[in-house]
Amino acid sequence: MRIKPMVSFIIRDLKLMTRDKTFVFWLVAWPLIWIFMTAYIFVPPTGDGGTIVLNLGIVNLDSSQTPLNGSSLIKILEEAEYNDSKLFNVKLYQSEEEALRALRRGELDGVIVVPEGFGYAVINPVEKARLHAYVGSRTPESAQISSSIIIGFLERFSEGVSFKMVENAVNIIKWLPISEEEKLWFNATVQGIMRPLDLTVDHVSPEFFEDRVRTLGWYTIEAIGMMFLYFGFNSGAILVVSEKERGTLRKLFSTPLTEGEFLVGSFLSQLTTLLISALILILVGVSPAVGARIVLDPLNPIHLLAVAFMVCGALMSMSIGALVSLLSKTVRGASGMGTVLGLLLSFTTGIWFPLEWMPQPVRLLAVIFPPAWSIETSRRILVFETFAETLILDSVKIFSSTAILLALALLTYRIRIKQYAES
Amino acid sequence: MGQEVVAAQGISKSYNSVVALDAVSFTVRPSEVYVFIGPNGAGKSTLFNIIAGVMKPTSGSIRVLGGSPFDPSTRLKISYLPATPPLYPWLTVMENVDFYASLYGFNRNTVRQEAKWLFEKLGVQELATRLSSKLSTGQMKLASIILSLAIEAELLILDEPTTALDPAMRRSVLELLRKKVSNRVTILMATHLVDEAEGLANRVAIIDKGKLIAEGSAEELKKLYAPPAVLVIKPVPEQVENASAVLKSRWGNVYSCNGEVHVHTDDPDEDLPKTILILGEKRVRMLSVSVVKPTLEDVFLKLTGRRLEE
Ligand SMILES: Nc1ncnc2c1ncn2[C@@H]1O[C@H](COP(=O)(O)OP(=O)(O)OP(=O)(O)O)[C@@H](O)[C@H]1O
Ligand SMILES: [Mg+2]
Repeated sequence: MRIKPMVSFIIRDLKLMTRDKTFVFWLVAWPLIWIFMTAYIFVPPTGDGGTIVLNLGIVNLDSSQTPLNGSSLIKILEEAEYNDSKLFNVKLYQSEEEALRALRRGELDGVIVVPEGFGYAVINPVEKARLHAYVGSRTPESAQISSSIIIGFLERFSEGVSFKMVENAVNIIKWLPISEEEKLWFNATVQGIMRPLDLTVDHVSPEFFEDRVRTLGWYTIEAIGMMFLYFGFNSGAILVVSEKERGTLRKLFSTPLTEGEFLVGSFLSQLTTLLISALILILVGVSPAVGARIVLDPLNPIHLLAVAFMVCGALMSMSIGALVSLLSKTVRGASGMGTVLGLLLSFTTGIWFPLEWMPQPVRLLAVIFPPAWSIETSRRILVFETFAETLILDSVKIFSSTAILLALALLTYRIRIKQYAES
Repeated sequence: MGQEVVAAQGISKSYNSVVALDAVSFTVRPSEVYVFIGPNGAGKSTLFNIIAGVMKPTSGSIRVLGGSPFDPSTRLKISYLPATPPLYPWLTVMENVDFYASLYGFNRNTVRQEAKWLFEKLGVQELATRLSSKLSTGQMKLASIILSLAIEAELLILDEPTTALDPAMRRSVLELLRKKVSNRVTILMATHLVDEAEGLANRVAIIDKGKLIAEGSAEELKKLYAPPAVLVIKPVPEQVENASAVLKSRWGNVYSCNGEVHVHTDDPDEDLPKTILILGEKRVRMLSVSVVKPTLEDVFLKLTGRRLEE
């Protein structure tokens, strides 16, 4: 087998890849659309764009010169944070009417009115401090969210005010002739009445959101798997029939080219195309535009094994494409069937959509569909840096099914070449 | 002189029920131009596919350049131009040249050099860098001719190399082929054009319905199957059949085709006035009457009862 003709097959097809827009679309653009959809719609980035910031109107009528007055409330509201991002956009209004008009126009999510003398009332044990809040409703959901955030915040604030008052009360009893121990006991009791329950809350988000970068890595490899499937099926299906339809098959075999060189050359060139596209997808996936996490340490044998699994996935897809070629004698037919079947299988075998979404009988497909194993195993390594204890068994399964499918593909192609050259 | 370039013995080929070739035997000698003429579906392309090692015959034996065409080392010395241009549409013409050259394992620059020379010779340098998908039918044909001739081969198998070419370009291509022959290349060619065959061929083979029905130099064939002269009578269209029937009652070798009636004659001086007289008696109105030298067309007519060209 000569190297030169095989290299020229690769060069020939790389030129096709760069010159034919439909190839660029199917190889790179279409999978990228899915990766970006995942990154910005299905697993949206958190941060400024992700959390809710409420527009809060404040009407401060308080002019008390006490430590806790209307101005300090505004400061607290402005500084309130959740997960490192601001909770409120505070806007000041001169009168209640003005603020309510803005609320009705939908410009605000809520309005808090701080009445005159609020600051004094806080430190005055006789007078009860009052605050009044209005909650807007731009949409039914937002009303619910706004009201619970605003009410929750005000409750915390009310609690803070209570502590202040307890402190004052304790300051008063400091002068009473009771023992230190009794004073402490008094202090604790009053605080206990104020806050009978010590409520602690921890936020637990699903792993999904917690590990967005890995999720994106997962989907990036899935997009590659999907591309391997439909493009591998498609190119495997048309490998011989396209030469026949173009009128090049007979010219090819009138040169010293052997059947083996033709098949290995064509297969290698398609594999190169798939792998280059996969590399582009990985590079875009890990770029800041998507931000996926994929680990690939060339010195780590397990990682190299994962790359080998990816290559197997590509080879198996192309080989199955060869079998698809038996179903049609035209490029249109074979190509259409390859693409549709590839997309269908990438959706039903857990390569794109989670397998759990599929009805039970469909899940069986993934069990008997070797390309799904190779994609699954390699992404577990490349994204989560873990592998099952069955790694050795998995490798054997993947490599042997690749070998079997390749052999079947070569057999199919030989039959096809003979048919097409001889008739 | 040496061994035969092509030796075919009883080659038959069937496609399912269609018999495309029926026991065809012939030999081609070194530096010979051997031309097959025959109508559509005669089996020329099928035969060429077998000689080029692309297709196996159903039965019979084929040797090319002392070996089997199904052996890659034999094909190293063959360059085949199929009837349909074998171009990859997304490659430029020169890239197509490079690609096929690499399948032979030839040095790219040597083949490019030769291709460049051919582009210049045919005055179509601008085609080299054009995308093959953007060429006209004739340009595609030219590109594939250059593709095949740029390969340094001992045997050129050319299936209808000049169809789709304009007359001037056809002459240039034939000129190139003559040059190849003077460089000891053997050419096997198929055509529908008798003048092309006569002008270029050392020997001509007439093939019809899968059978090789005659073989020899144009002169030999004409001597064997054509008379010294042919009377070509062109009656008004509605009287062609009538004229043909009238003449057939007097002469044996009368053929009508495409509005003309051909009478093969050994003595035109005697037969010409006779013909005119007889047709005049029967009130056949004639547009023209002439005496011409026979061509391979007349050989074909004699052998098959049909004409090859318009
Ligand atoms: N792939 C095929 N399958 C079935 N029959 C075929 C096939 N190719 C050719 N034939 C038949 O074989 C016969 C010979 O065809 P072939 O192409 O060899 O003729 P040809 O002399 O080259 O004709 P043309 O001058 O039109 O090119 C025809 O009857 C044709 O219909
Ligand atoms: Mg033909």
